[in-house]
Amino acid sequence: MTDTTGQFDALVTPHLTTLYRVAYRLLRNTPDAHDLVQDVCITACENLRDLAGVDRPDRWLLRVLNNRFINLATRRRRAPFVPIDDASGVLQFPSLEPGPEALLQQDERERALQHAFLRLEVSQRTLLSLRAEGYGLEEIEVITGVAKEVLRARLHRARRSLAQHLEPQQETAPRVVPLPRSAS
Amino acid sequence: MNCQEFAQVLDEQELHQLPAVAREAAEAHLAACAACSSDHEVHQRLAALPIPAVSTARVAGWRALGTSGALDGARRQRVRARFAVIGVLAVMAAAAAVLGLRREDPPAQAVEVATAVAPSPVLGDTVVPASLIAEEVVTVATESGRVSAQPVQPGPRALTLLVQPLDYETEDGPVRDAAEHFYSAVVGGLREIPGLQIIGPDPAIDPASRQTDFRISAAARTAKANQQGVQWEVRLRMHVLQGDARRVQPILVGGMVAGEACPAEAPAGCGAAAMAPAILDLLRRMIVPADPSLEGRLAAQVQDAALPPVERVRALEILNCQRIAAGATCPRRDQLGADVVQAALGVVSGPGDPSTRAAFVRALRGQQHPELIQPLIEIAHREPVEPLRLEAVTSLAEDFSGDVAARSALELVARDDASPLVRKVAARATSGTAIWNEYAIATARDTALPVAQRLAPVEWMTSNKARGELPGLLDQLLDGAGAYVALADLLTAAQKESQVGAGTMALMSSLRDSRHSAAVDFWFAIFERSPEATVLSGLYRHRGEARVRRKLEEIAAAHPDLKLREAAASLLEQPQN
Repeated sequence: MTDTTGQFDALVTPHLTTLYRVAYRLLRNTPDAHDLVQDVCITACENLRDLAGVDRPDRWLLRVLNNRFINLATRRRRAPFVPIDDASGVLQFPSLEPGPEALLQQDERERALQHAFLRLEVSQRTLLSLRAEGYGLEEIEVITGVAKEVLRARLHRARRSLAQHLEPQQETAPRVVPLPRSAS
Repeated sequence: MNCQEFAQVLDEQELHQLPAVAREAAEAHLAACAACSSDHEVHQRLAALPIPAVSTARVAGWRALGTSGALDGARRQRVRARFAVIGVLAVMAAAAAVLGLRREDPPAQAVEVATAVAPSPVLGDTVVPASLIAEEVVTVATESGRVSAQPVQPGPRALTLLVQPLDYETEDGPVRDAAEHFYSAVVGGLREIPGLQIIGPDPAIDPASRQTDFRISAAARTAKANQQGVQWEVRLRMHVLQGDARRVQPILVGGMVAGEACPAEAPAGCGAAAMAPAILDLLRRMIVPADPSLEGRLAAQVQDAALPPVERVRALEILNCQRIAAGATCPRRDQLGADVVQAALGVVSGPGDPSTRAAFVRALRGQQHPELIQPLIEIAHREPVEPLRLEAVTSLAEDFSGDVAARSALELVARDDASPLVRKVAARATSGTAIWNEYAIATARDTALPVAQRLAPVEWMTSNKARGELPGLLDQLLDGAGAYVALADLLTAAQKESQVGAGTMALMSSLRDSRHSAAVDFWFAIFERSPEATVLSGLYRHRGEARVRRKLEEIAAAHPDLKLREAAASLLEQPQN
């Protein structure tokens, strides 16, 4: 037991915050991110011997996290689950007013970005999240098992796709149809 | 630098990490290339999206899960494969018997019993951290070393609610106490709902894949500290996982922990005990099972004259307002059965306590059974107690304004009723909203009236269909020289006299969203009276205005209160609309 504790502390505990940050970036909600990290912890605990043999435990853990995330996303596609995270769905009860912090979190641009991000493909979300967390393509290659050049192209497409989602809807100008001249 | 070179930089590093020469080249390319500039902006904005801090308790919980030794790796594997749940001998039988917990997949073989853990805290009397609830108790012992599933009791299909442990995002002891008190009371109340089985989490099963009908989770945090004291806050998330109606309903609730505003009799934090019933009520309405047998039981409760009226009216409310989709209003009112309506009418028309009768009238709102009209008219004309008359007139106005008899009654009430509020509610139905708005504004501005009376029309609007018209009324309230000062005086007085009801809160909320130019003056005036960060948040929508920015800059630069300086600076940093 002590051995397990020591191994877990050495191999997993230092990376828990990073795992949570990436999980949150992928899912954009705290409970799901917590669940995902918990799942990674269980997997890590089951495979401590394997984990002890790798050079970079953080990459191994992130790979597990990514796989779990893909599984989760697949399940949700089969059973669509609509998160209602925007402020309009939050019921406020008397005696507590949203403070500046809460209001800042509701920033519309931020929310639009978040919603656009959640509409991306799963693999695009992974790429953008890891990159946003500071991982370079070489590290992402190790984590995802996808070749670097393929990743580069995907990352480029993911950014373009996100930018497109963020573009404001253009209002179409009303068409002017000339009336037929009366044949007077 | 060309696009390809820039892309390589963007894929590997941050611009600020580049050597000066390379950075200048990258920036020059950015300035000239719209496509790369867009890519860069997307990357920056994503990197800047906020990530809530993870609590130390949560990290400790993960660590405990991995290091507890309660389950070694191989055992976890077996448990996971069978979807079995580890239990504790000493508490299993009692807990399972009391809670009536049920398993979906009874294990066919023996499962080793884990080392002792505390009995289910969420399901018990208190709420404790996730790390202590990792192994939930849902099985009973049959013989030493072997466990088997608690057999499901025959009867109507029960719905299941998975209660996740309270998550702490604060280290503040009193805040934790208040949040625990609140969550414990809510879970305790949920357990009382007939037809609903409460189950605990299982570390071996992903909650998202757990076959439950509902899942509730909660996070406790410190909202803020101001002059009145510290505020606790709980963010509840109710996941409705049934059929096509899958959704998550977030609910934010909180109150004061300590300070002048906290009455001494609140043992576990001011507001925690008072808030739980309101939230519980909301949750009850959200999760009332569609099980016909349960609806039958509720209908029987309404009709059972031997039950206390409060229980009967609660059953009626639940029956009449099922499944809140979003927001605090009732979206679906199916027509109730005639027997239920008759039973409720018996109370409404009886000689009982007027407040009970008023509660029944309110609980029947939305029902358009013709037999309701005459009793409501009787009350509207003859009842001496104003709140009961008001409820009856509101029902006539909202549900029966197209009926000839009801309309005549409303016209009479609008002309003759002794109460101005009742008269205007009736007039609103017969003559339109202009007269009502005029009345509501004049009443709010009438400094000769008590504060509660001045706010009564707003309170009435908030609790009825007219709620959506509040922003329009607010704009009119802000019109006119100095009107904002009068409004600031009124709302400050309401706070001082503890008259802040749902209507006042809704008004404040509308003031935050208002685009009326005087809304800024209002918030400035409030800030003068009560310099708090909460007040500054009222300026959020107006942060792009020059005078607001000047004010925020002043506060950020020189205000003696650090929290205010930070709040102002934080607002200034936000992108402008």
